[in-house]
Amino acid sequence: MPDALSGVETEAAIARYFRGSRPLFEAFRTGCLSQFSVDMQAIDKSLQQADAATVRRIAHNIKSAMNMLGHTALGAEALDIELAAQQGQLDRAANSWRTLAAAMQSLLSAAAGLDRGSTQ
Amino acid sequence: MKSPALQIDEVEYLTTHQVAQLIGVTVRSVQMMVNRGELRGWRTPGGHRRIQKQSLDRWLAFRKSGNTGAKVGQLSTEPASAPRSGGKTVLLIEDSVYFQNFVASLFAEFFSGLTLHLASDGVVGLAMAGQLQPDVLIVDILLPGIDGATLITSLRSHAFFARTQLIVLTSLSGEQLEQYRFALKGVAVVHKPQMMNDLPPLLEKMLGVAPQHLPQP
Repeated sequence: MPDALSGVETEAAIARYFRGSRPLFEAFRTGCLSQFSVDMQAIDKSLQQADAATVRRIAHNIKSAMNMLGHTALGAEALDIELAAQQGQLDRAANSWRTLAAAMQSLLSAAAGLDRGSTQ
Repeated sequence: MKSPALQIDEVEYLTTHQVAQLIGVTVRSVQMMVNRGELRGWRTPGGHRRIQKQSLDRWLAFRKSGNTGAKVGQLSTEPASAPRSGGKTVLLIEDSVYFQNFVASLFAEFFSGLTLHLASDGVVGLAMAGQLQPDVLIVDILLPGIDGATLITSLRSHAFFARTQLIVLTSLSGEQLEQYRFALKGVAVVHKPQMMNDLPPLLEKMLGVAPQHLPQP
């Protein structure tokens, strides 16, 4: 997949977090892309239920995944949600989540488009 | 000419590459899953592996149920109560599917001789630790059910745990870890982003098993 999908820090992420192994990075990214929609639904549900602990935990997981994928800006957004939920500030978490969820949806759409393109 | 898009629901068999793409692991991980009997497959006359789609569906359903804590151990074919074999056993207690997959890939790539079991939450992890008595326990801190620090404290009260070596795997910052310090004295802590650099040498030190084919940074 081209770097446009994963942001400008892909190569740095591969070097820093995957010891330069592109196959391991690609496998990690594929797994992340298939899990993102599951976690997005889980955060939506947890926000509706005011379940701050679950919002914190899942945002924390997304943060780690984003940073390892080289999406550091999205990782920072997820950290903000994690910290807001940890402090019980669910309104702030929900606001930040709207931004992050839109970015994740764009990421998934771009990945799906590239996937379709690669098989045509 | 490129092949048309794969309609997964319409096929009975998949290549290792297709399975790797679908579940987010490396091709080698899929090969190891077949070798361990987690997926059913065979080789074509040309030597290429084919994976039975039905076995993949079963594996995916099992993983999904594992994520709710209902079932565990999907990374191993051994039941949790199996007698200890000569091989070394590692139990990973981790709720994040991102890192479940990544740790499984690392084991398949670099520690194929070790048996990795998985628990997706603290309560199931606690039970599995007692049943398996693993050589190494790798535990996340932020877990559903019981958090990792409480889990460690509970395990330390059991005699069997004296022979289990412990690694905490976390993305929490130093400041965020402060509230869990009570459980982390003398415990090896691996920061998740540094897992590929720090986990293999730690496992080698603890288990005396050198990683295979680890790329040089």
